[in-house]
Amino acid sequence: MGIAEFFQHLTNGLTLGGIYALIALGYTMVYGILKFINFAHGDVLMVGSYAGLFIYNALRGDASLGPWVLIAFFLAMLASMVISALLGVTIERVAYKPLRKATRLAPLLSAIGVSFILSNSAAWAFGTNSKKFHYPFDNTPFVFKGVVITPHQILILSVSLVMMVILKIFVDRTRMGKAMRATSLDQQTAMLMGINVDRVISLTFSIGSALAAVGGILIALDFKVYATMGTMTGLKAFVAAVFGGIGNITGAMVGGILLGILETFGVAIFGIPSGLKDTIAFGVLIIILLVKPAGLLGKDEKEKV
Amino acid sequence: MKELLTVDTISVSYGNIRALKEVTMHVYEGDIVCLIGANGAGKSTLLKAIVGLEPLVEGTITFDGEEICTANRGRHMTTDLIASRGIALVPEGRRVFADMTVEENLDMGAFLVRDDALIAQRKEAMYDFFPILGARKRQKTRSLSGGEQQMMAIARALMSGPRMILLDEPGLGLAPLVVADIFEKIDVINKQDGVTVFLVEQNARMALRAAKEGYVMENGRIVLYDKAANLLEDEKVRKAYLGE
Repeated sequence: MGIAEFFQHLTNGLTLGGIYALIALGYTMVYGILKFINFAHGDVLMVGSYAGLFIYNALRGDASLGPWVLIAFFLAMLASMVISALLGVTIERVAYKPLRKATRLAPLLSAIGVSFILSNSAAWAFGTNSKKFHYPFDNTPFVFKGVVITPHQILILSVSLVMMVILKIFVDRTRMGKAMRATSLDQQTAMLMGINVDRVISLTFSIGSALAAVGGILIALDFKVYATMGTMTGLKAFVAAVFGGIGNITGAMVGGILLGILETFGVAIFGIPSGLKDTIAFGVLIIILLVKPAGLLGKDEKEKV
Repeated sequence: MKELLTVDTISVSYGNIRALKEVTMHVYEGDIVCLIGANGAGKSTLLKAIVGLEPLVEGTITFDGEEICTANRGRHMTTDLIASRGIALVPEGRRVFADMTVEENLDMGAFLVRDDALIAQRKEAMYDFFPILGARKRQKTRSLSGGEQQMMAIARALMSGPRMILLDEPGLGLAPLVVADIFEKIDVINKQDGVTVFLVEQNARMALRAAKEGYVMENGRIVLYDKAANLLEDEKVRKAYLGE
C-alpha cells in the first residue's frame, strides 16, 4: 500500500469514525448517568434526520447552490438538534423516568419499545421510500497529493471535531458539565451538593440526542433518510461506545474514530468484502468484551456491592 | 437559643423492618450535638432521613422553621432542595468524587453558590484550613489517603457555606492522630464559623468530648439524651460505649 493509498483510507476512516463518535457520545453519556443503554438513540437520530431534511428543503425552496443554501443547511441542522433534544428529553420523561427504581432490565425493554414506536411511526408518516438529502454544496471531490477528498468529508470532519471540542470543554470546565460528571460518579452525593439530578439527566439526553441528529444528517447526505436508518448506525455507534469504554466520554470519541478506521482498513487491507464490512464492528465488540470488557479507556472496576 | 433542626417523632422502615422508631431530637443553633450508638442502631439512617434520602413513615423534620421532610410524599423536599436550605451532609465513607480533582470536588460543593468570586475566596480559605488539600488541588481525589479524603469531604461540605453540617462517622477507619486532627477542625468550624454541627460517631469518647449535647441510640430509638459531659459520667454509657 502506497502512502497516498494509506492516507486515502485514513481520511475515509476518520470521516466514518467522526460520525460514529458523535452518535456514540449519546450512548455513553446516558449510560454514565443512568447505567442503561438507550436503544432508542438510533431512532432519535432518524427523527432528527427527517426533521433536518424537511426544514432544509423548506428553507432552501428551489434555490440553486450558493451561500444561502449552505446557511439553510446549517440552520436546518441547528433546528433538528433542538427538535431531537426535545424528543430525547420527552422519551426520558415518559418511558424511562417512571422506571428509574425498577429492575435494570425494565428501562432497557422500554427503550426497545420506544425504538419500534419511532421507526414504525416514521414509516407510517413518511413512507418507506428513502428520501434524498441533497448536498448543500457542490460535492465534486478534489485531489490533494494523491488523496481524493470530498467537500462532504471535510464537512463531516470539521463538524464532528467542533462538536467534540465544545462538548469536551463543556464537560471539563463548566458548572453544569462538572455536575454531569459528578452525577455519573455518585448520584446520591451529587444530590447532597444541591445538584438537581433530574435536570442533569434531561441535559444529558438533550446533548446526546442533538449530537445524534448531527450524525444522522451527515450520514443522510450520502445514504438518504429512511425510517430504519438509525438501526445499524445506532448499533455500530453502540459498539464504538463499548469499544472506547462505555460511560467514558473521551472513550466514545476514541472508540468511534478507531472503529471507523478499523472498518475502512479492514476492507482495504484484509480484503474483507465490503458487503461484510458490518461484521468488523461486531467482531471488534466480541474481541473487546473478551480481552478488556471495560473498553479501551474504561477502568476495570469490580461491580460494587 | 434558637432551635435550628427539629426531628419530630419520625419513623423509617426498610421493608418490614423499622430502622427508626419515633425519633425526636432538637438541635440548637451554634451547638455541637452528637449521636452515639452501636453499629446498626440507625444513626446513618437518621442522617439520611434529615437530608431527604430516606422516606419517612411518620413524623416531620423542620429546619429553621420550615418543614423539610414529612411522611406525605407530595410535600417532601428533594435532597438538592434541602441542601439549598443550608444543610450539608458529609456522608459515611466520605463519598468523594474519586475521578475528579480536589479542586473540582470543592467546585461541586459550591454548586449552589452562584458567585465566582465567593467560590474562589472559599476555596482559598479551605486550602488555608486544610493545607494538604491546597498542595493536592490538581490531583484526582482517588490518589488521596483516607484522612485526606475525609478532610476533602468536610471541605466540600463547607464550600456551600452551610448553616448546619452533618458528619457521619468522620473518624471511621482512620488513625487516632488523624481522627484527633479532624475533631480539632470540627471544633474550629463550630467555634469560628458558627456552623452548627451534628455528629454521628462510633468513637463515643471522642464525640462526647467534642459535643455539648449527646443522644444515645439503640435499635432505632433514642434511649438517652443529656449534656455530653453528663453522658461521659453516666454509668450505662460508660459500660456500653466507653468500654469501661
